[in-house]
Parts: sequence; C-alpha cells; structure tokens
Amino acid sequence: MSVTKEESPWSVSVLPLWVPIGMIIMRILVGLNGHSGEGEDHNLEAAYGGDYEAQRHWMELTIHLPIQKWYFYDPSYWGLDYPPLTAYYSYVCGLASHYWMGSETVALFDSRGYEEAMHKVFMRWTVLVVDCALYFTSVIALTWRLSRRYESNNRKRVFVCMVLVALAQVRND
Amino acid sequence: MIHFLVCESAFSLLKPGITLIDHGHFQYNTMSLGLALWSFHFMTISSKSFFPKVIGAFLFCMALNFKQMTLYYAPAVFSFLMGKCCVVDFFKRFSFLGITVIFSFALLWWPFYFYADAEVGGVQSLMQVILRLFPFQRGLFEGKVSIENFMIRPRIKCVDFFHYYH
Repeated sequence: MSVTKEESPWSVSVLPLWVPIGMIIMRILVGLNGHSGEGEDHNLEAAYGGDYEAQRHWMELTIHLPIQKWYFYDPSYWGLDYPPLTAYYSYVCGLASHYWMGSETVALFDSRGYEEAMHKVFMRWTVLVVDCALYFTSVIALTWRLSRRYESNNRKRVFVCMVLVALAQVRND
Repeated sequence: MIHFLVCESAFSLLKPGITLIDHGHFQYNTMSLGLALWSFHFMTISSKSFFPKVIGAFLFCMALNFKQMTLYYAPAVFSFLMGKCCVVDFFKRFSFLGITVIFSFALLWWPFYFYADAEVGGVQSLMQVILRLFPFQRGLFEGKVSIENFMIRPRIKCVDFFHYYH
C-alpha cells in the first residue's frame, strides 16, 4: 500500500480519519439500545433503575437546590456521591435539559423515573460530546506521539488484538 | 507510522468496556479517563521546562474531582512526579506541584465551604461531601450497590465447581 497523490478516501494517509468516525457510529449504535434499569417498575420512594436515573436525578437536584444542599439531599434516592466536578457537569447538563428539553424532564421530585425517548437522546448526547471532546482527542494525541516513536513492525499483532476486541464487543451486545 | 496510528487509536477507542458502560449502561467514565489521559500526555512531554508537568498535575486533579475512581492511578502519578522532582530543584518543583494541587482542589471545593448553611458549618459541609464520596460510615453492603452479588456469587460458583468435580 502506498500513499497516492490524489488521496482516495481509502488511501492509507486518510485512514486515521475513519477511525473516529467509525467509533462514533459504533457508540451511537450501542446508545440506541436500552440503558441499565430501563422500564423497571418503581414508585417514587424507592431507588429504582440504574446509573441513567442517577445521572438524571443529579441534574434535577443540582439545578433546583442551592449548592450547600447538594450533598445533603435525600441520600436514599440516588444521593449525589461523586466529586464536585461531576456535580458541576450535572448542573450544566441540567440547565441545558431544563431549557432545551422542557422543565418537566428535570422537575424536582416530580421527574423521578422520567424516561422519554427524546430526553434519552439528549442524555446520550451529553455522554458522546464528552467522549469526543476529551477521550477521543487524548487517545489521538497520545497515539500520534507514540506512532512517531515506533515503527509499525508489530502491526499484525495489534490487528489481531483489534479483531479480538471487536469479537468481544459483538458477544457482549 | 500511519498503520500504528490507525491500529493503536482504533484499539483504544474500540475498548468494549468503555463503550458499553458509558453509552450502554450510562456513565461518564470517558470524562475522567480523557482528563487523566490528557494529564499523562502533558506529564510525559519531553521538555526541559517543568511547566507541562504542572499542567498535567492540574488536569489529573480535575480527573480526580470528576470520579474518585481515578485514585487508582494516583500512586503511579505521584511516584512519577516525585521522580521528576528529585532530578533537580526538589523543593522548588515540589512546592509548585503542591500549590497546583491545592489550587485546583480549592477551585472546585470552595463553594461547599463558603456557602454552607450556618447551622451546619463550613467544615461539616466539606466533611459531608467527603463522607458521600467515601461512604465508610454507611457500610460496604449498601442495598442498591450489589456488592453482595460480587462477593457471594463467585463463592457459590466455587462451591458448585467442587460439588461437580468431587
């Protein structure tokens, strides 16, 4: 394989661009499936569901309560138990949800167990944006540095690892 | 070089655990992981200046403040930075790092102290945050987190295994 002058989309030098695109598509496809605890029976008192409800609940409590109440509010129903930066990010996402997706999505107490499809899309986006902005960029930055240091003589081995990982992915789904 | 770039970045980004937990199960691990990787990137830049290490320390504190699980990396990061301090100018470098860490934590934690309710008090309010993060007082076997499953199920499996083979 050699680098061509006219740069077809499959030529080697354009290949790195396809990696993030493919990974984003894969993440969207995974996100189309359900989250943990989706559609479980629940009443308002008992903690129900999984981390989706927890994160939504943190958005709800951070935008409605003053900051000194955040870590005191109802610890039995998904009380906030992550460090402050998570709380601030929940606050930002909560405001976005409040103004874009409607106030009922993060209404204090009344929105417990809120699982509308459009809001789920919004929640998936909040993850994907962070993923692309921080994780993708950091991985690309580090691999870019490493790729200048090493030659690709262990390419075959890495490829085998990749295929194994892909198989594991399919099996888990 | 380009093969390495493609394969290695694809390999890192394909990691099924990250994808499934963040985009399937729903968590924000990539935020703390991304911040931690950026901090490793800055810490390992080969430069005469100590400044990239300071930026790395700041980013690592941010990662630590997003998810306390990042503490797993903390011993390695601490040892690495201590090693870099020991090369030359130990006290200068060490105090730089110390100030960075204190500054970044203060940046995120000050509202919990200054806006605390009068009847609770600033110190108690900070203690509440810490107790929520490291819930020693409520016990390891809290109902909603299924540590019981993790601890009991392997044991049942072992028992089954021995019953089957003996």
